[in-house]
Amino acid sequence: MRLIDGPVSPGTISEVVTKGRKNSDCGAHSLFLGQVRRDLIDEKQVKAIEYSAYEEMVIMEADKINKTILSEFDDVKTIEIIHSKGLVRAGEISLLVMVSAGHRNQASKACAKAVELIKDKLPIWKKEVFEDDSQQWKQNE
Amino acid sequence: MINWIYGPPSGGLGGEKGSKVIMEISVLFFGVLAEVTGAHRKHYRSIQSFGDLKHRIEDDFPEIIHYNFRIAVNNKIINEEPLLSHGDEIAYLPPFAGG
Repeated sequence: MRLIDGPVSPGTISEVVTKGRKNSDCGAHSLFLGQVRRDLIDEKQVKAIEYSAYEEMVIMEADKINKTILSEFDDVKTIEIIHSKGLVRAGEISLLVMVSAGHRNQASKACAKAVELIKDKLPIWKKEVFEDDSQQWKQNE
Repeated sequence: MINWIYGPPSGGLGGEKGSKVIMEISVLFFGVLAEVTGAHRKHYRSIQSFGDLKHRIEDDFPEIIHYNFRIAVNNKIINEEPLLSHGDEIAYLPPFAGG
């Protein structure tokens, strides 16, 4: 698990995929990218999200998520999680999850489960920043 | 080995009724609560128990009671009132919103 400043760049995504390919006993990589949506709320457009995190606890909880996934899905070999902190503009990527497994079925199921656990368990907060620079705290649905 | 930086591992010193142990506790506020309190980290001295700490925080930031939050002690979310040890780190965590 890594927390990085700002968006997850195309270069970082490429690095993760390249690294995943070195797992030659894997036949499937399931990649999830979370993107900041340009929501329209009360006629105001979201231009960015400001993320903050309890970093020590994020790392500990992410480790637990890894263990949960690996124990539940025996075909999964590796899990890569990268989450942004700080400002991420609409259209940019704020979360990457890549699960590598022997076969596609467990890769995609485990990836979906990892994303749900990340949203539920990681102490990360976000504030929407609107085009007029007003801001509001946002909760996961 | 006893790690005296974080207090005795049993955690038995902090919370007993009538205990004279005086603790220093670090409190972190996140998300909306960092804004409400105007502080990310605050140190509380002369704390005798978790209840004592909670009252001190509510005295300093009365508006905090209007928000939903969970509390973590040393990175672990607690579900009941913990026994504190000198040097513990308490975190006030609003509902998570990662992803």
